[in-house]
Amino acid sequence: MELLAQQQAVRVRHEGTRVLVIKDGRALLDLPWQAALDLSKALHAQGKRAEEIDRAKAIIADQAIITRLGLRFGITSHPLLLREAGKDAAWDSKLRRYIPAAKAMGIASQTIVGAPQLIQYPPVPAAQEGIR
Amino acid sequence: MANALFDSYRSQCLTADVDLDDSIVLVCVDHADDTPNVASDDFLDDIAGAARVATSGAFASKTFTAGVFDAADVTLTSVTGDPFESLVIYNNTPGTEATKDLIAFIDTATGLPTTPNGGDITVQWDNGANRIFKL
Repeated sequence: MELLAQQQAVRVRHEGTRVLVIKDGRALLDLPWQAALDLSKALHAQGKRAEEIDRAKAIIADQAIITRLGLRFGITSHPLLLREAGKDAAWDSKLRRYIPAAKAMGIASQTIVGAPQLIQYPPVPAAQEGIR
Repeated sequence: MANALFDSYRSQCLTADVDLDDSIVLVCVDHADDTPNVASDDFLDDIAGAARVATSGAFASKTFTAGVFDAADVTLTSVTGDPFESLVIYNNTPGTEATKDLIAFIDTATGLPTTPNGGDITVQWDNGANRIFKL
């Protein structure tokens, strides 16, 4: 409730071409409208990132399903969440049970390893070893 | 299985943790003692010592053109020991087996499996477009 009260104490309004952020009757920010729009975008972006952390568990679970199915899109670009989702996609027992290996496409690799040739030569007789 | 890069190496490619300019070698692996797993093995210590029949010297004349890794053919001298079914390429530069990254697994090659007879064995890399491997 205290947090809510603090949030309610912050008000945003405009005066002419400027945008004011007022807390407890004092102007915290006094911005031109362009800056206010830029700030709102930055706040939105950071808010979404913070939300991502708050919902990490659900995002990892959903991303793990997507990864295990081999779908070529993701729901997060956060490297730590992707790493955990990758582990779950490979090893989570429920996912392995309900999306068995035959259905788990994964993300196909385009790498190709060549096929070499092994040539075995006869052993060198002991008498010739000195002249190898 | 089939020829493949180790999953751990593919991940390392994204973080530049394995430098193929390092000392890269191959080891002949006897599957009777240990079968490499490209999905879970990541370092040399994951391949049992008893399974390592012979190890090459460092690859020479390495090239990395357009994501294709190539090197001079490798000769293992006077190879003895158990028959082996695959070759594993790894980075031999780190100091301990627990940090030597596994790179590629090759079990499809003309001449495999091979039973050593005490003579030299030359590994001629694929002369097609893929060479040792292509990313």
